[in-house]
Amino acid sequence: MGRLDGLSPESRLVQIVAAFRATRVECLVLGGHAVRFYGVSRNTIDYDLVVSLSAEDWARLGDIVGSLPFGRAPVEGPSWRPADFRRFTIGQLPDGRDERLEFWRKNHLLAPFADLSDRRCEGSYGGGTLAFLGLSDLLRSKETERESDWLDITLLEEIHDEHALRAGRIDDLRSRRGFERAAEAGLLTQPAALQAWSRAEHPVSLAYLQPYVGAASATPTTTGALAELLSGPLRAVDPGSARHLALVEAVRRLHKRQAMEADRADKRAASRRT
Amino acid sequence: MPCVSEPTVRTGDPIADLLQGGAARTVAEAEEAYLDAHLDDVIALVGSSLSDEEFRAHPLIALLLARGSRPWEDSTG
Repeated sequence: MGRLDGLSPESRLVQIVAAFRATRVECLVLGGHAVRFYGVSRNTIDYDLVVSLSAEDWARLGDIVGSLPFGRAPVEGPSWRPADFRRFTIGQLPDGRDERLEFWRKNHLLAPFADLSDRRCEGSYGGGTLAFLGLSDLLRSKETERESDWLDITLLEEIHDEHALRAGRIDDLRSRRGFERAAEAGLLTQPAALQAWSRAEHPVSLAYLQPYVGAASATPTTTGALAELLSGPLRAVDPGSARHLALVEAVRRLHKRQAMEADRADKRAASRRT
Repeated sequence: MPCVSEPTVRTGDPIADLLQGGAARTVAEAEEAYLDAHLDDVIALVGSSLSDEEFRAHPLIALLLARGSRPWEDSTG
């Protein structure tokens, strides 16, 4: 394999992943490049990978990264949770910012690697074929304390719903755009919504479905204010009405608030362990 | 020393007050903060006797829907 400098970031990522696979390290792309792969146009300066490594192999990750033919020797940076996350500076961008290669082994927003791998999406990127986190897993990975991740979620949810609707699925609707298209296509009948409800997990998806199933639905598995909204006002509003849409947005905000707090708590716990 | 979160003069517009008081740096940030602080009011409005038209036109609901997930006609591509 040739040197990895002088390539576009996308091609560089392809080469990085190929180099890892050559060392028998399984990995999936997440982060900004995965967001770009799914169709959101935004800049990224990091390469983010989730890897399948034993604790022993994780400990020698620095050696593996050091063996890759970057233009300069990678430098490991600080990590607030070195057992789960490590980052390396592998170069410098034309504007002077560091170019970083970051690895996750696990975190509270990522399912076990085997499950992530089962749900991965492979596609063309940077002149090669890469394996990315599946869209639902990518959305989940973005439910962090950072506002910028929630901006990605807003756009990815619309793309997620397009994919779901093409497959005739309404059990994981996340966006108003997806919801309105589903309604327009006549997919939101009560029997279909009931079936979808039994599979739905995300609070926003449950909120979109709830008025269609009314009291026929089981008690939601969520708790607190979200559960109160789902089993109270959302059962009483007309499907698709302004009141319904307003309650969905209230659920979205409550869920975001809870997810941000959970991520902060996870980071605090990880910091205490190190 | 004046408190930065309390405007010395209230404008009558809660978003402008948040900006003027220094509690938000941008209009978007102020609108987000205002909505997050008034979800209980949204729920109360859902249960009110407002007509659908009045409900949709209420400033809090109009802001909530405008800043929420985009409707079909606002979406790109």
